[in-house]
Amino acid sequence: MTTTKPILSIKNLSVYYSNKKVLNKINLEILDSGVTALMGPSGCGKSTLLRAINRLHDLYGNTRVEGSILLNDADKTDLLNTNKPVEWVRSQIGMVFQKPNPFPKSIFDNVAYGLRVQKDLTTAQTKDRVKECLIDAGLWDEVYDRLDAPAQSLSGGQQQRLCIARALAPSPLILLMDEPTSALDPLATQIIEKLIQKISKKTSVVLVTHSMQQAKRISDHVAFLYLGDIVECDSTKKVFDSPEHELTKSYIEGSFG
Amino acid sequence: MKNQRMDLSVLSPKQRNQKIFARIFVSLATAVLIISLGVICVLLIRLFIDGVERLNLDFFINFPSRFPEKAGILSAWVGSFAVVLLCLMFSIPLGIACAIYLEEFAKKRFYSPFIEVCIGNLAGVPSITFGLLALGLFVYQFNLGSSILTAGLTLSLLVLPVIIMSTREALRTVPLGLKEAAYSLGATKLQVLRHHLIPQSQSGIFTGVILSLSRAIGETAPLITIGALTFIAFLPEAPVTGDFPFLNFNWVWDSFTVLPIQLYNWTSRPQAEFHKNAAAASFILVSLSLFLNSFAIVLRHRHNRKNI
Repeated sequence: MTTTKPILSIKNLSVYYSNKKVLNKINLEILDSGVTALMGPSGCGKSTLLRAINRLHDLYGNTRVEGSILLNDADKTDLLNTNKPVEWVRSQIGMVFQKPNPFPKSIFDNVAYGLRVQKDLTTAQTKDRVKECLIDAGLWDEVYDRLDAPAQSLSGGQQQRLCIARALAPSPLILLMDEPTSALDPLATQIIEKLIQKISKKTSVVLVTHSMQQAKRISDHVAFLYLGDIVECDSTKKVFDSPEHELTKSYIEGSFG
Repeated sequence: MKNQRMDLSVLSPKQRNQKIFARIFVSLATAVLIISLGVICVLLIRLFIDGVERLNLDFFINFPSRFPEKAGILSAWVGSFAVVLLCLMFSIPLGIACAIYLEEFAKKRFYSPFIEVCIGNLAGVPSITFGLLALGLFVYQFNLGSSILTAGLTLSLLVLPVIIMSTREALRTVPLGLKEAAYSLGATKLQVLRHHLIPQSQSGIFTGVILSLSRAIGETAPLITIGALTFIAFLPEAPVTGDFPFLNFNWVWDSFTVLPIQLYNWTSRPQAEFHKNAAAASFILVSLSLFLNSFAIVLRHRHNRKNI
């Protein structure tokens, strides 16, 4: 067990789509380091939980979010009920989506987008930061000679790494990843899994995955969700070696899900 | 192998029927396509043959006249141009702004579907109704007279729903993933709109504008209602002058005629010679609208290709 402080404390979080309750008063602490994996069968609310942290639910009128998500910064900001603008919340938290979704712009402009939107950097500073992020995302060697090429010309795995670089560029405190490898082949998946572990040394990562193997391979902590509740949450080793809950055990053994 | 007849006997009777049905359907569809294309070709060719005598430069630079061979469409095309220009000046900003508001900013409330139905309905209202509204509102209430300005406003009412609907349609084609990605990077609503939504949907928006333009050019009834002249032998005041500030907007108060009205005027004359003028003017009008529509299709095609 690690003793690091939580960077995020999720308290009594409920999410409703129209009148359907998707998350049921969830309590969860995301630790300040490493990868926290959210796993569970489809429809259990893992993505919903992730999107609540980034307040993406704000975009849609028929969704209701209750509870609080406390960020462990100087002000102990409650991300859901803060008087700070939602753009600030999102600038603290990066997000990588399931399907690679680069903007139909150049590779450079994709990575620079978050910087341009959030910060007032000089061209040189932007260039440096873009290079840094592309190196961090392990993409620099493949694209350094064609930064002006359209992002769509990259392969799926490269596009996903580009999206990771894009999310990292504004230096978020937390990086959310919503099944980032589910649309990729095994080789690209492997590259991205390595990358996630590398990133997690600097930025805490919350990873949604439906693959237990992936959770086991790269995560430090696991939260197992089932039908909108957190069943079990502990270090990965503990959950996989000696799960406390019967439900977790049968999921890990593959009896359902 | 390629030229061999397909062996349908390996299929189950049900599959065979489906296959045969599909073939019949395709040939029917092709026939319908050929018929509708044929109609437009025959129309264009016929108009050309009837009007070829008049299709020369003089036709474009002459005013209408008592003598058919001297009569031209100068005042008509200048009028059409001015009216459509004003119409687009009003309807494009208003229509696009309205669509953006409805699609991105308006909260979904219980009456939102009602607004949608209303806009859809407006697009289907007979144009003469807009003419009557304009006659009451612009001509009598606001005292704008039977001017180019009134005509522009009337036509912009007419095409506004078309522009709103096509813009909303274009905005909806922007993938949700792109919007969410931009929002997740901390972009504000306006930034998402400026950086992603509008650039991504601009050809779609443009297509809608062109389609409504070609509708506006052909519109007659509402303009006759508001009192467009049918025979006019002078041009509106020039928009550019020799004195400061070199621009002159008095032309919007001038009376006018448009191509379809001129055309109608010529067809309703008893002398057969005038019918040649009518055919020539029709040919120009139909070609113009064909050109505009194909331009819109090219744009849409380019837009689709870019998005893949």
